Amino acid sequence: MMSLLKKRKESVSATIALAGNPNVGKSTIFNALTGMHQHTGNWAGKTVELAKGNCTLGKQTCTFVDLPGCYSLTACSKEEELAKDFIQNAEPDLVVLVCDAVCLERHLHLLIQILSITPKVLLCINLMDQAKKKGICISCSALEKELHIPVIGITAHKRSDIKKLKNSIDLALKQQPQSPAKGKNSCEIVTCTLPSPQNCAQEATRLYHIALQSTDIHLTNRDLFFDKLFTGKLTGILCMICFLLLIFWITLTGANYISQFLHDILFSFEPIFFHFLQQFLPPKLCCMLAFGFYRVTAWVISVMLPPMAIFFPLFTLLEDFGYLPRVAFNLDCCFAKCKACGKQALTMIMGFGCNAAGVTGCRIIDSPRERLIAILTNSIVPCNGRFPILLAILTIFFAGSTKSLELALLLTLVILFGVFMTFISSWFLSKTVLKGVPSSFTLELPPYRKPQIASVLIHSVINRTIRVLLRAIVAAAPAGIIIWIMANTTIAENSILNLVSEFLNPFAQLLGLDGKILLAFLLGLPANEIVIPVLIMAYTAQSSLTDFESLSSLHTLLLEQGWTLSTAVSMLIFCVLHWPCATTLLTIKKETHSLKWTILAFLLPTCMGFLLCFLVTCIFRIFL
Amino acid sequence: MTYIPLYQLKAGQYGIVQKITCSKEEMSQKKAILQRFLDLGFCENTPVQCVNTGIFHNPHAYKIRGSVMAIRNEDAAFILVEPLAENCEI
Repeated sequence: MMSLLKKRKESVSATIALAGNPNVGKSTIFNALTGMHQHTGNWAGKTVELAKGNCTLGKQTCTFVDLPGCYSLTACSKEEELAKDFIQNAEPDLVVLVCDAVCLERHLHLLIQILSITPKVLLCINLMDQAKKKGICISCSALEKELHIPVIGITAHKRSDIKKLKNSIDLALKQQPQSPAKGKNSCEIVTCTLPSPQNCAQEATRLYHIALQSTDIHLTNRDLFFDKLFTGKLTGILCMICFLLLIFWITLTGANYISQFLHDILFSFEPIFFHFLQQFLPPKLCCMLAFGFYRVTAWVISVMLPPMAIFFPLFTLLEDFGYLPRVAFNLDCCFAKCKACGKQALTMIMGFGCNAAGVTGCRIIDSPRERLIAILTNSIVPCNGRFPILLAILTIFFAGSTKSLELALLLTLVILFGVFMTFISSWFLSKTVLKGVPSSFTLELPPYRKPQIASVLIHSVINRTIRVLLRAIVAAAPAGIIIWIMANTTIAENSILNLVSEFLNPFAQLLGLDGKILLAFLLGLPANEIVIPVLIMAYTAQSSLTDFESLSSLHTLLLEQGWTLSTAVSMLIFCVLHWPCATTLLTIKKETHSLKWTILAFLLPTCMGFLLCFLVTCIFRIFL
Repeated sequence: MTYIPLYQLKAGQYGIVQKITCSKEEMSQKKAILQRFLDLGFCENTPVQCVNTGIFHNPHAYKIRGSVMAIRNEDAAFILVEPLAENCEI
């Protein structure tokens, strides 16, 4: 905190904190003000870290700090502590308290607490449009009169409203020299300790009735209908599976075409690239760059980019809509049986996008025991980077054709297997290393919101997709070079690749795999996306096949290498259950501050994968 | 009028929060959640409505002060409410 204080005094003229309950649109406002791209979503706990950004107001540059959402300053969770610390110790020049107009009464509770710490508050009531739709009419001027702080009502998605907000912030900052005295008068509860919850609640109710002009608060019919559909006994589960299926189906159908297109373009460049290099570099190096570096990278781009570019936006749309908390609501009973927290469903779903993001998201879980369970089991659901492996295997060995619907169905089954294994391992953990009783939590079910389709598309494609892709390429390039060197360096007339895979082979055979598959997974530690390209490189290093035009040529290659149905099944299981990628491991280390838990996070899925693969292989060998 | 634990409200039924109770033995463990309840506005005389039921009757979702919160039955048991007649609305 001290360093932050110093920095502020040196470079920028004002620090402004954005505070508020979870899920009121702080990040949306933050993004609009600073032009940054924090992820936003319609569920409580999306932002768990402090984010900072600059914005020019009038003549001065201000630093905005996006605090994680908190219900109150009486810290019970990490985020609340963080928020309280910042407001109390970093002494921001202005706290912009963002409230949701739809449930203002609860949010005023926090206002009263913050006012007891600092009078430098601007109350920003967001989602005015939704409140209006629900028949809630709020008078900002009445509140302003009562509280003697600036109050402004906005709709964060409107650009004109953001401008309005900027002006008020500017004005509030300018007026501040006189405001302290005024602030003290305004609030009868200025004390060094926080007022009691009972007092807060009464005060909040009093203020709310001052602010409220007319009301007719009811859950709208639309919300009731969606809730019935998404959380009904039968329809709830059906909807979850259908959504999963639908997302995969759209992703697969779309990705097929783009993938083929990219593949054709990128691979038509390979010879050109090779010839181009030949002019400057020695032939050995040319081969390495063209067939090691370029080929693997091109594979990763053509295979990874299309599914990601379609999956991420779809996923974000669902998130924006407010569906995720309903899934958590549905699945809570299962997590309760495993003695875990219902919010683990949220982090698990985030894991579909990226396990590292899922692990960071685990901060929404308050109980340390349950948070650890969520962190350790997060990598069991396959992330986006592992979909291509699953897809390739499913297409070749199970679907029989490339029909998207059939494939989507199979992929959904594999994902459900991952979810099921998450439950099993959570249950196992809470019975062994992480014993304890389930702790208590509350899960907010926000009203459904219409997703901001255009902004979702732009942000998720540009930010998420490109970032994840870059990471994959950074991992793919060295791995491609390593595998090429391994395949082309010989010791006693045997390539290193062969030696290593021979070494791994006996163990891999027990699991129904072969040495090269295991090697590919080992090299895929930095990013799972590269497993299939590395595997193909390893296989083709000696075989005559050098080019892959389609999955059918991959099929021929795999059969040539002695793949059977048993190998394919083992591969699927191992793909779901193996060590988390390096990024995820680093994130786990950062989140748990402990090497012990990081190692356990590595071993848990790996051992489960070994065990299951071994069992399946035994069954295959005995019965088939 | 008898008070019932919050989770016994039927879907759609309203109640008035009377008090939050907890046995002494459980107090140390449950302190955080009781504080959270207060922060969310489960204070005396606050109307609350049960709006949704989970797949296995656990958790339930309650509407309090305009927002909807899902709470497991074990935790909702700490909140005592005065139930209103089932067709009664606030």
